[in-house]
Amino acid sequence: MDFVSFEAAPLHTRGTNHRQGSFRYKDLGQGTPGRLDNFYLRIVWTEGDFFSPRHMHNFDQVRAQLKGRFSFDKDGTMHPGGVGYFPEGTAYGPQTSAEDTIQLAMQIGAPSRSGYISEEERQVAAEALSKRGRFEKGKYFANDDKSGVGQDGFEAVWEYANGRRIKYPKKRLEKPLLVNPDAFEWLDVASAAGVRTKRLWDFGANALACSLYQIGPKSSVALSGPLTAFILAGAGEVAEHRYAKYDALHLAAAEKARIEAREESELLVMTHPVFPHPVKRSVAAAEVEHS
Amino acid sequence: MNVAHAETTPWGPARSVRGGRIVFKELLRGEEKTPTNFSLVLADTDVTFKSPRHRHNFDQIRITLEGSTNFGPRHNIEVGDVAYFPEGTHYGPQNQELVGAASLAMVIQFGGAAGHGYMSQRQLFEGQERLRVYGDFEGGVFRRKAAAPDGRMNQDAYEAIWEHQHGRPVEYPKPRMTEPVHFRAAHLPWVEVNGPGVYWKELGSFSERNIRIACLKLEADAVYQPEPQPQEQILFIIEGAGRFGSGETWARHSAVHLHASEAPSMSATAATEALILFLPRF
Repeated sequence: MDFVSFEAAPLHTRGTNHRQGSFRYKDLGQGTPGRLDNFYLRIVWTEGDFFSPRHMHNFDQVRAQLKGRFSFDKDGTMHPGGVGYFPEGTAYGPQTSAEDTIQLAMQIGAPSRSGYISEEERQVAAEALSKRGRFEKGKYFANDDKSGVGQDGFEAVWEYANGRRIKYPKKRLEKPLLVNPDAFEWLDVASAAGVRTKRLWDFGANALACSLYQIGPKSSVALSGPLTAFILAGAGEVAEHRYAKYDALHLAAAEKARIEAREESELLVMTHPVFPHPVKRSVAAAEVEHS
Repeated sequence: MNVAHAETTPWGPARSVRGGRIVFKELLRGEEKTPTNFSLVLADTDVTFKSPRHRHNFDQIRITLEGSTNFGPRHNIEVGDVAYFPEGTHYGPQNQELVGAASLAMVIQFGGAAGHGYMSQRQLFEGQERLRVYGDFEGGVFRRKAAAPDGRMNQDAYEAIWEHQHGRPVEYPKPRMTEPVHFRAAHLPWVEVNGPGVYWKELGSFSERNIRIACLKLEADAVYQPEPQPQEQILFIIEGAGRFGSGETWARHSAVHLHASEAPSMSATAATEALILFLPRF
């Protein structure tokens, strides 16, 4: 079990930024670099100057809007309380925020088995690329690129880190899925008195699934990995840790933990994808058909 | 278990509560006044078909069998796609002229997670006939000859019929999603399961009531023994032929309704592909 305290996590300001606009963040945990189910959870603060061009990923992303609104142009707007699924291969945006926002962002390896590069790998690559070009408005312009067209900033970083051209999987969904959890009904969890759940979506074993849990005071629920649980509200205990708002808990496969609420608590539970052979992404990605 | 075949089911008359020509062949229907009532139809959509932007108080699944089916600006359901229209979520306007040709689609409309149920095709068209006394249906809108008690002259046609049939205002569930879920299902891999020649493609499941969509592929001579499920299921045979353990056969465009816990074996005599919908579990 990996418990990450929001309060204790240092606040970073992204130095070399492959997007545009102020970007402060706290790391709330990551998986194992090189594994197909590697992930990275962070909470991000942006101000009214954020811009990211229309782009797609070769990994899955889940976002939870905690404050302010984030616009994805014709793909919709995330409002506080909203949860979004941005699957690999599906283009979205451009993305802007005209106000201060706080957003939880989970990035994780997806069904195409391209994995997810760690934040350390990303930073090393972005710094190295900055020495031979510049990042501007979410694009990378290499000094020796005379075309002036540039390349998507993330793509440039990924290709540097992996030493090969990026290939995007064919899109499974035409658009990102923006969910309004407020419209879902809480249903009692049969095995846990005082606990209710809202099941948001499940795209099968190879993709991240999302649910909300509400745990009444003095009630508890047992969770089983692989998953990440993010505390949206409340306080209580998990093993030897005291949890509070915005803390995160990561459970590996078959790991179990009991969440015991002192105050009514609400959790966003993200069940990780399961891959039969979580081999290194560079080998696995070559095995699947890409567009 | 209830099996119906497109080949032996007649097309209905051309009629629509919205605009333009559309013809239905209803293969299966559920039980009126239950939360999981449903209707499975083949829809022959003429190039003239139009429908204003609207939402439903029920869920809907659509696939295109021939051609391409428009459901909004820049949104066409192509052969191989699966589109899920959740209750309460707006979509459209639909305009088949944007495609420039007719299409053949399979549509399942069913009671969604909110438990509001589904007004049957019989109730819908009966209500439409009754309402003709009070006004006209034009382009998906019911235009009254005299104002309703609340002062309205014009109303979405489906809403007007629903309210007439139920004697109360229609209630729309809050939209769980901002847009319909449009799967490019052909891009998902098949996974071999449950014996040789049996493949599964999990598209996704949604809502607190676990509305689940998947595809099944059987090679010729493959035998599939599904696990009993706690939910009702609807199977639509996109292609293929075979026989259930009960002795019933399937062919291209057959449709099957399974009650909860019913799990007949399936023996394919020709390569088969089916869409499977798990109805909400209440």
